[in-house]
Amino acid sequence: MTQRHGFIGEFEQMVLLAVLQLGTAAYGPDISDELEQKANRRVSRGALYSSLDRLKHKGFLRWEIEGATSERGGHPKRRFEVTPAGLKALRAAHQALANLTAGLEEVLG
Amino acid sequence: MNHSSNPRTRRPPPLAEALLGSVLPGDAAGRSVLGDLREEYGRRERSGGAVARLWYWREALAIAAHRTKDRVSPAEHRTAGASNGQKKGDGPMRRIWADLRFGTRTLRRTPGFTTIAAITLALGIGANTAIFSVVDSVLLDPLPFPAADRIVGIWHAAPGLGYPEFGTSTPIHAQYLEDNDVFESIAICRSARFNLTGDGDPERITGAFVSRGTLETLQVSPILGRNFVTEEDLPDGPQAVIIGHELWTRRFAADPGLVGRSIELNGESYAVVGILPERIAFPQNETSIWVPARIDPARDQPGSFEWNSIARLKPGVSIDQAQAQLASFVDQMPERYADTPQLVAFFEQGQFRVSVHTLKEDVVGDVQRSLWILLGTVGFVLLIACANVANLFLVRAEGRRRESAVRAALGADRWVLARQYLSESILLAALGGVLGLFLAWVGVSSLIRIAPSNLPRLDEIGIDGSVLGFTACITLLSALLFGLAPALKRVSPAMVGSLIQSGTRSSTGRDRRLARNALVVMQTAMALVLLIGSGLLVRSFWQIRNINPGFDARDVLTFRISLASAEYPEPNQVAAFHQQLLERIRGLPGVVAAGAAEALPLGQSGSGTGFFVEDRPTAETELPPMFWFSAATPGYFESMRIPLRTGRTFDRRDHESELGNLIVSAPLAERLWPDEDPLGKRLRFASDSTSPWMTVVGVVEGVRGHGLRRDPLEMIYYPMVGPRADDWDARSLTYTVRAQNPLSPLPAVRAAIAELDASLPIAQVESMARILARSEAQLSFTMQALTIAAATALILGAIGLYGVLSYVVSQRTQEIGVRLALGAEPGSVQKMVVLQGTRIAVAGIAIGLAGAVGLTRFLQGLLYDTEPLDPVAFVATSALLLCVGLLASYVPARRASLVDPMKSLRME
Repeated sequence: MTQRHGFIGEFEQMVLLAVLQLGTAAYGPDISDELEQKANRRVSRGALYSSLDRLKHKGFLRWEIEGATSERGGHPKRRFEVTPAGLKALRAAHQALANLTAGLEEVLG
Repeated sequence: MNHSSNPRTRRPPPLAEALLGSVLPGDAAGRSVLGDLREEYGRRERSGGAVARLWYWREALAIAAHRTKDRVSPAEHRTAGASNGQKKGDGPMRRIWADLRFGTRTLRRTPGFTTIAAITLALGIGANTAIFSVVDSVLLDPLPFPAADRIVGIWHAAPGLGYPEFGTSTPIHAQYLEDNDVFESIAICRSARFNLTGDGDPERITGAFVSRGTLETLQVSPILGRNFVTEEDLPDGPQAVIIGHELWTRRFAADPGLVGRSIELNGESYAVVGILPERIAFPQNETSIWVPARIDPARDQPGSFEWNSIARLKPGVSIDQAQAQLASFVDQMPERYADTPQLVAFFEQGQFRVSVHTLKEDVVGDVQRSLWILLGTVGFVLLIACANVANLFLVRAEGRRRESAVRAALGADRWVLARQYLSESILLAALGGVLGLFLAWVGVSSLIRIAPSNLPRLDEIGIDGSVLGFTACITLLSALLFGLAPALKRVSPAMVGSLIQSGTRSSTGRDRRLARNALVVMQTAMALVLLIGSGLLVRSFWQIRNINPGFDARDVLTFRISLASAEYPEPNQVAAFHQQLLERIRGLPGVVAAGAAEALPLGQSGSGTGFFVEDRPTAETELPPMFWFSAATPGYFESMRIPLRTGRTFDRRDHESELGNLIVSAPLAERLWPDEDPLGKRLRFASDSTSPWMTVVGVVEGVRGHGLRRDPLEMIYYPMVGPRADDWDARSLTYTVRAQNPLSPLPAVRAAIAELDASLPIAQVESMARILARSEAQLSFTMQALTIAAATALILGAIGLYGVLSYVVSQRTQEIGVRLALGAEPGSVQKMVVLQGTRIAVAGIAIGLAGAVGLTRFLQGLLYDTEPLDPVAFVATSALLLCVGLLASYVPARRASLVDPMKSLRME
């Protein structure tokens, strides 16, 4: 369960990538939809918000609060953004994966 | 109306949202999660409300679970704490977390135990929450008015003439209003039904005529517009109406511009002057229109008690004081009305009296008793469930005695051990609580479906915050109840002794067995009390089902049609309309017979009044005999299959050529002319000196119009035209259509009505069978709920007995093995175990019988033709319980007889 600073798990990578994919429209439900559509990963809101909070604690993610609408019952909206540190961690993870998969193209297809 | 456009339905389940709000932080980030879920709920709700609610619940619970885990998990704090330098993981929070994790692990290791214990608790908690939800809205907070405990109803009674309770008349109201000094305000009102026409389909709506001061007495003010003003209550004043919230939103799309506009009621135009707040309906649950009563006490009959009276007590005045003052007015009434000898006779012979009680009592009424009975019942079930779980825990404690002893000997603090076992109980209680809440939600919806329709605030019943609190309390309480005893027992100092002991020889083992047996005896006793209770109700229900109501309720469709006097001014127009409609209905395919009557048995109660009988003259100081009366058309008796005794039923000539004929019911004929032929006898209305004599042309069987438990009515049926000169005619009739399938002719009937009068609404569409079933709804509601509770208790009791005996067998395996090895018959071993189970069951039955003798009298009012100590119910249920006990003993007994002596001896 322990995670060293700077490293991110598979699911956290997916969340960060989904936030990047959504650009300036990364809100909670959209991230969930993105994960379901592109990664075929159904995820409970509990797990998603828990990961988002964790990524913020690690400094990989930040959010901005936007205004409330009536269909949200007067509650505000949170728009997520990947921080430079988050980008760095993603690149590192991506690079590690690339190094490890190099030469295995035949096996992995 | 488009359902999904209603802003109320867009709200996610309030309970789930409240739960979510309580676990999320209150900052913008936390609230944004609520917003996300609300938004998505709105989207999902459009494609299906139930699925969306389920989705919301699932997500809310998942978030709550993750939040709790993130908050207390030391692992998470290590990563999170690394950046901000805090260590929250130490201290009591961490210890509790460790205990909980330990508890989770041990519970997971024994899934059988955990499942049974959780389901057992869920049954108890679920039943309790469901019933409490109903009790909470109905009993504890039934009235939506401010300071509602000061609102009283004023009723009169004439026990000397057999009239239990009725309302007031305008002259008596005027006297109370004038002379009293105990009420802040006093008012009268009377239910009435109106045809609402114009914009949209015609509709039949329940309304009320209200006197001045009604809204003041209730302390209700319109949310839009105003209360009535004095000139609107004058006979020639402008016609005004106040509208209820439900009607306003449903029919008028909550348009604030409605105030000031006019609507059409019974063909006349009324200006809408105000809209009442939500939830306000009076005097009936479904009242949604209020019109000034325009009473004229000087002209009305003092003996015409057709009004309901309410009043608000002055602060500091008690109900008894108010009652005493009104009683002193009643005492003066014979003097006051000395010029009306018949009224004086009514006061004196009837022992006329007044009674004042709280409005809450009137509204909640008899239902109160059923609900308290149910609440007590489910309390029993919860106790049984707790006893069961306690038992399971005790059994488990046996198995872990060595483990505990070893840990204690190695230096574990006794409180550490106690705390660990307690945390297991709390986890289990929480699990049971969540499952129970789900069961409660299912239970509330089914209770609402079977509840009597006179239950106040039926549509508002739901699982709300206070019910959630109640469940939480019960859950915690039961966790303590069943967790504490074994936890304390386990850390007793004698424990070290267990280290060197094995088997069942220790004295503490004996204590525990006694404790377990006592628990099962108690469970059995409580189960028996519930079984006897439900047995008595089932028997009453059975007796009532076998009562002949005097008509055949199967395959009859009923609905009510009312013709406004503005559009049908003449009585013969009314009669012609009904005649025409009946002929059309009779021509429809599948229709066997059709008729209509003013009063329907068990539905509209009809009216009673005095009649003069030609050959039984009434003296000046005597009251004329009172009979119920109703208009009836040709075909009515045939469609209801009310048997004809002698003479004939109505046909065309009775309202066309040969006016002034009557049909009477058999009980009336038997009372008035026990040895004579009733045909040809004559009667007339006593209240109206111009009413003509009418001749009896037929006698039909009596009908139990006021409830199956009451006697058949002494009833007079008269044709649609002719009996009285005034407006007392057949404007409102309930149609009775007998068809092969009672609901199938409905569309064709609607079309036939629309062809005759497109603006005429059709109301109270129901099958006669439903009306009959509803007349005993309270009994069947209590019976079904109590039977479910009793069945649950029986199952739980059986599980308890089975558990104890299984355990005994497993503990005595060695001993049984020795017996078998020494030549004991397997049959005798089996008998020994069954006997032990039987002893427990019999002890439970004995205590249960004693308890039932004391408790069944609370059911008295619901029973019919069944004594609270009915021997059949007592014996049958005891026998049932004994059988179940034997069955529960048989399985462990059989296992005992199959013990392999060699294996059991090698176990040592």
